[in-house]
Amino acid sequence: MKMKIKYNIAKNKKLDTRKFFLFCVGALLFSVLFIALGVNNLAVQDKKLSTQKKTQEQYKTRLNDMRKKTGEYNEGIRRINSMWRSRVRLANSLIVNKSFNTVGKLDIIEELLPVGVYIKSISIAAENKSKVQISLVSDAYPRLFEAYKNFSKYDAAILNESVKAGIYNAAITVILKTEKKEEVTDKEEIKGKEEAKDGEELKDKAVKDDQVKDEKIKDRAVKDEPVKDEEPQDRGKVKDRAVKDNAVRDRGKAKDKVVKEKKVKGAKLKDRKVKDRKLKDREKEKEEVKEKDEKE
Amino acid sequence: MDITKFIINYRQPSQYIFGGENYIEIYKPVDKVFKRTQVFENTSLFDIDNYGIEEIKRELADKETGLILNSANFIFNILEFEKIPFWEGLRKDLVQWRLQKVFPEDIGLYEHDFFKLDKNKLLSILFKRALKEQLEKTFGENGIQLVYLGNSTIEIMNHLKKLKTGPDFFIEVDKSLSVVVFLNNSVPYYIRKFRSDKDVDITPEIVKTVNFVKKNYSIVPAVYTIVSNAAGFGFDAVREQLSRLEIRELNFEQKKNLLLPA
Repeated sequence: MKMKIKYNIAKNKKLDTRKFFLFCVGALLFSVLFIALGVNNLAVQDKKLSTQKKTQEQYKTRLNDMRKKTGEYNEGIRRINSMWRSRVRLANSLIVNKSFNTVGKLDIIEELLPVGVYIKSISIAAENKSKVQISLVSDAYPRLFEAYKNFSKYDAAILNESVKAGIYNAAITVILKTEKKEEVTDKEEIKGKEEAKDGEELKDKAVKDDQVKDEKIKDRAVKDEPVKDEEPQDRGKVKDRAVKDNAVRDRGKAKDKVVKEKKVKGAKLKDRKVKDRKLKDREKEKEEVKEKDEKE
Repeated sequence: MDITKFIINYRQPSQYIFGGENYIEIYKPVDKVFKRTQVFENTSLFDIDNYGIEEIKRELADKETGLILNSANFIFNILEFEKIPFWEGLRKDLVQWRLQKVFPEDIGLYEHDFFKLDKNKLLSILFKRALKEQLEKTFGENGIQLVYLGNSTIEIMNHLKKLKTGPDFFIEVDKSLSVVVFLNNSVPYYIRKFRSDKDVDITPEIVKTVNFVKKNYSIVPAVYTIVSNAAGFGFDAVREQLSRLEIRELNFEQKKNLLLPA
């Protein structure tokens, strides 16, 4: 744009009022237009804001609802959890009760009880773990004393003793850890298996050792025997045979030993298993009887 | 940037006085076009007596009057900067600082105005304050409302800006005073003012100036125009010389009244 050079250095310049007025009007119109546009823009923005506010409120209410629902759900989950826990507890207690070897304990008591000593009452509770309270009755103190002796293996503690009309009453507590025994049996089983493995390994080792020994003997025989011109082949044959025979004998012995050990261990394991089964069957039967009684 | 220059427009006078080289002309509107109605020979506005001013007053209507002076008492400087400050105050300080380096006299004695020409060019115009005050006093004392005081060269420049394809330079001849203004896309980049007692002396000066511009500005002017108010002046020699330099003259309509404001 080519700009005009407005050069006027006169002191008394006169303002062009018409042009100035037009300029002012133009500026005014422009500002009005600008303001109008601004107001319009503000109105549009206000509308947008109000709609946004509305949507925000809607979202807020939704959020509150969701929060309420989540609270309810959480409560439900808590309830279910507590129920589940109680069920788990119940199941655990049942498991504990089931694993509680009552019959085994009774067996032990029966075994330990000497002749002439009778059980007046007995309390076996799963809660008390292995603690069993027995009240005994006997007409002679030495018998009772024998009972004490017998039960002393199981940390027996005399709670009270009394004599009434020549009848001796006593209350004792005994710790009968039959569950531990089961664990022990399991361990023994494992041990047996390990021993069997060891036996096999021993067998292999024995065979190998025999072979080595045979070879050594063979070598020695070859070295020790002086070489004679006469009958050299026969002597060598005889030696070989002797060596072979020795080796076969040794091998057989080692094998027999291993087999024997195995058999013994197998028999022990079988006995244990049979005993366990019997015990389990007894428990089952008792439980069934109990259940039946309860039902009745 | 001076915003007032854009906002405020000053009223154009209804009649003009042109103060030439030892002569005064009166221009009045006739059929909406300013026409020279009177010429006062052998009179200068700066040493006019009461008789002379009364004669002028008699010729003028009792209206707002404008005074256009030739460039004899004006000092032009085209200043080039790397960057021109946006704010008017800073711009003024910069221009004055540059002028003080070039101009030997005290700038305070002059009426100083400057105009931005393009991105990094400024046109500075100096006019002696004492002369201005003298003129305003003589006109004021005689009841002539002086509302415009301008320069003929600047008015010519403004007129030429209107042309679609303006000249590369113009020669303003006012009797013994000649001003050559070189334009690049209507923006002045070199101004030279010289005096010559004889008509014949103008031509070599113009040729010299053209060659100088060619050499120093690496611009080859191809079109020129002559603006002269003085009667009886022949520019044949100038035209001949410039045509030899392959510079053609631009003849356009409305070549009259180029000295008065547009």
